[in-house]
Amino acid sequence: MNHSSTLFCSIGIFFLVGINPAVCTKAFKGCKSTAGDVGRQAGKQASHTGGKAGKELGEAVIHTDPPPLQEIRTAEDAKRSKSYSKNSESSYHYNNQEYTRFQDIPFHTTDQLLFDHAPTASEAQHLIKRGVKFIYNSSAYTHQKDSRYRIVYLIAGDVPSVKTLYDVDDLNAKRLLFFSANLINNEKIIKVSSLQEMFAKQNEILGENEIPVLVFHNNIESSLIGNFNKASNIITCNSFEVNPEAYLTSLDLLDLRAIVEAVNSSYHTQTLGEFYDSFTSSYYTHMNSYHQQNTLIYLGGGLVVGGGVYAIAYYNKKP
Amino acid sequence: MIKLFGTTLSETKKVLESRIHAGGEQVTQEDKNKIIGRIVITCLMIFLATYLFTTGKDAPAGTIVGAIVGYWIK
Repeated sequence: MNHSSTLFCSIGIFFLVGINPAVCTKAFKGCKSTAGDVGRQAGKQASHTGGKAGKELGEAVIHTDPPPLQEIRTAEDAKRSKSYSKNSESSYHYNNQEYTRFQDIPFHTTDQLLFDHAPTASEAQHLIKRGVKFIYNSSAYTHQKDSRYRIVYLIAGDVPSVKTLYDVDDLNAKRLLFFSANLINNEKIIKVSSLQEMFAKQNEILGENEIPVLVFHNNIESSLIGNFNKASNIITCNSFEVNPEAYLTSLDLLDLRAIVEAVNSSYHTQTLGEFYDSFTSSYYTHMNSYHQQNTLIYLGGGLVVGGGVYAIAYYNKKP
Repeated sequence: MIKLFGTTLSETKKVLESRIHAGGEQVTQEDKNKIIGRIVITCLMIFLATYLFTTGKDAPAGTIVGAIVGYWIK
């Protein structure tokens, strides 16, 4: 083997370690959370408040609703049945197949699953592993899906306040303000700059028989959790720690920019059900396109380096 | 738990793919500058190694390639 081949093999091994087909496949299909190394075990969720484990699963049957309108990306998605239920203590039904263990069920990212209780730690862990970030509470879904709603966004107009509210540094605070510009300038969205103000708005909206959808950073003290009304909806990381019975529960850390973009795409809907259908779809779509973009950048960078190596080898080859 | 490879690659990927996450460890502009510098230097070293290989200087070229691979898998 000549030395040029050795060089190319070494570089190939380098890229294989960092960029392998499995990663590329995942990127094109949409990777998991970008939270990185932050612990995802639901029992020890690396939440900003210290974490609380999910409640134990009791005797319950879990159902799905007919698939709502959402972007159908592939023929496989179009054919996929959303039927999912628990038949007994040791049997589950999903997509016209039977499974004996919850951890064996091949949930899909875009599955919209209804639970009538908070997921257990192992269930949440499996769902996160399968890329499912949001689940629905069946009781809240039944009662609230046709309700009108108002969005309350916890944000301040200045960088220092945003840094405090969202536990971010200077750079990310500026970025968050930049990406939130549309929401901040949107009259339909209620902006509050403190938790106390958010609780006050929550009560005001409930008094008008609408559902408040609260968007904030989950770093609140446990003593304040009681201020959340059971009927309120929450969009934050690991929202099951705040209100496990809310219509939509998030199981993992969420991307703030994706949240902002998804709310921006969905605030025009009339009912809570329509809002969440649009929100979750937009969130996943945003994250998918972000991962695809990253993959293309990696591949493009690899091609540039490879092209440079080839050019140097070509123009310096021995006669 | 024993890891087969180190954290350099995962760390680099984490910084490159960093988004806005409330709380937790933040990726600063300094981190990003270091990662970009790391990548640029690596590319330059790869080009240098290629040049040395093609001009017959295999020993230094091999040393450079070994250093690059060793750096990134640690």
